[in-house]
Amino acid sequence: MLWFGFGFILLVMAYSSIDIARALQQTSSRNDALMTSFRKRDHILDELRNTMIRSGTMIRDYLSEDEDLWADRDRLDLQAARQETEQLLESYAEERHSTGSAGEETFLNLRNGVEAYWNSFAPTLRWDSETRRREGDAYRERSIGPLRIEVFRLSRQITAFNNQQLDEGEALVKNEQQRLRLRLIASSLVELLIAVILTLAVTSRIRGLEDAVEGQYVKMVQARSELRDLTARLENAREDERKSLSRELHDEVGQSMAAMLVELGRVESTLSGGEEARTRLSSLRVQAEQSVRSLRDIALLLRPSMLDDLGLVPALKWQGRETARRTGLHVRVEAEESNDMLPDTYKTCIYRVVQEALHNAVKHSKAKSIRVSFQQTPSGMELEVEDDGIGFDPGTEKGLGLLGMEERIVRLGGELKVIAKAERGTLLSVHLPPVKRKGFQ
Amino acid sequence: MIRIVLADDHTVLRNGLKALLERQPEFQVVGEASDGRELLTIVEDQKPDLVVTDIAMPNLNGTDATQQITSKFPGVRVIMLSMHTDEAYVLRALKAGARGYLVKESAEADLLTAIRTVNSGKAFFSPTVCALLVEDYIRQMQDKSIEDSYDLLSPREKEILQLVAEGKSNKDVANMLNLSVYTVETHRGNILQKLNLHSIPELILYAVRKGVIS
Repeated sequence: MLWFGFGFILLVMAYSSIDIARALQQTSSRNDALMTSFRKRDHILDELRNTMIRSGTMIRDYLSEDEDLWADRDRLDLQAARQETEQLLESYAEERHSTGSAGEETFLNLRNGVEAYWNSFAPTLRWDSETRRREGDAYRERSIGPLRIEVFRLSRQITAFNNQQLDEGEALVKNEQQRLRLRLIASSLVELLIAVILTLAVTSRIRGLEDAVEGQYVKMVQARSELRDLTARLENAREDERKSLSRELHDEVGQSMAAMLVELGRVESTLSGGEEARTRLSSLRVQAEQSVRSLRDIALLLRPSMLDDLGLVPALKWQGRETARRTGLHVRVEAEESNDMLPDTYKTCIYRVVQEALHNAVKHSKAKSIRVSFQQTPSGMELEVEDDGIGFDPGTEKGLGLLGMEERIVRLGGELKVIAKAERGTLLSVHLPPVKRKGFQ
Repeated sequence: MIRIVLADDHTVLRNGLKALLERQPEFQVVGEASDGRELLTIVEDQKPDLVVTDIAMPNLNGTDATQQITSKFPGVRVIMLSMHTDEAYVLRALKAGARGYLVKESAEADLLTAIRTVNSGKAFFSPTVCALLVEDYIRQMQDKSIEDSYDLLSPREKEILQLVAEGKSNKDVANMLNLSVYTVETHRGNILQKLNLHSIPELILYAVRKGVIS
């Protein structure tokens, strides 16, 4: 649609400029033709006038000639002059015809006048010298003069006509120019109109696109926050599940097994049977004890009971000890116990972040020792996990674990910074805003 | 004759322990409770020498009940039964006033020793717990950046540390070492400060870690 509009306006502009150039060309060539024709005709009329004037002289000479020989020559001259005027008139007629000018009547009058002029003294050409001497003066007095005056009158008339024709031609050209101007204005107006329409179309299109983009953006933001909510809900559900599973294992299954162990011990001590039964019972008890330990480990891994029973700091310290026990690394947890019990979301967030950070440090960093520090201040909570490992490039190696940590922290309005330098260890630092007591869980 | 109250919401376990105790002529089970409130009532009625109680119980948990018992009846010794082996739970039990900590899975084997030890005024911990405490401590000491502050103590302070960790009162220690109670108090304060500890329960755990007591 837009392309069509732009194409159209370009076509209109091209057409109008070609058209105007052509019209200009036409007007100027018409003007040239008009001038040429005028000059030619003017010239013909001049010639005609001259010939007529000359012919007057010739007649006078002829009539006053005594010698026949000279008279003959004058006669021939006159005939030639007549032919000349006829030819001039002929070419004038042709010129007139070719330019298609009006004024036929005036021209015919001229032609008739000229012919009458020549005819009027045609009889005298047959006169002998005697007759010329006798009649010449009288004739001249009587006829030639008025005829010549008539011819000059006609010639003037034609000149006037010619001038009039020129004026008309000029008017025509002017008219043409006027029309050209109007056409120019009209085409400019059309172009302007199309341009305005196009501008409006383009503007509304852009507006539409802008709206669409904004709509998309809003949708995207919404989708992201929905996704974040969903992730949070999922995470919470998972945490709840872990908590209940851990409790179930520890409190129900574990307690039952502990009771069984006590019973087993009693049976063992009261057993009166042989050595073999005693040995088997004993190995059974060892196995059961092993099972209880495994059960405890699984339960703690799912979610350490300290987190809910004793609070965040004991849980962090346990995790540090547990990691050290499992991996042989030095893990130091610097955290002051405080009576201020944090909401579950905060405890879980910090605990899981530390867990992930320790996991990363153990798995990837080749560290020898890890330091975890957690502090509560009036301006919030500060957590640091630092190792002396090989570090990594957080720009390119931001794994799922790190993203998960960030997600948890951002959800509580906090901030995660990872400062990792190759060969110089990794420092993970977390700031969380103070707990809003209004939403205390 | 040691008069004992047993508390655990798990009947099978409680019965097992009761049967175990009843075979010993020097022990007498004078009451059984299945939650913290019941335990408090029975202790108030019976004024036993010793209480063996589970940590996790409905209504009122074992730790809170212990806290109330030891503050109301300072003569009553408490042994806690627990599924947990971590020192944080041990420390909390000590802070509540218990002086014995038994892991349930080995309760049958250690109960009698525990009762006798705690009844004599000393602390008792399940071998599993002791092993973990010592193990963690040794690992920590391998970290060169951590100083072993035990060497900062003078011989006299080390002596006093052991006696205090064994449950002796300032007066007992003063009598045994021919010192004034005031001097013993001063020593005790110095020990806590040098070892960066904040309470007697922490001091007891430290002594276990260090192998000063077991």
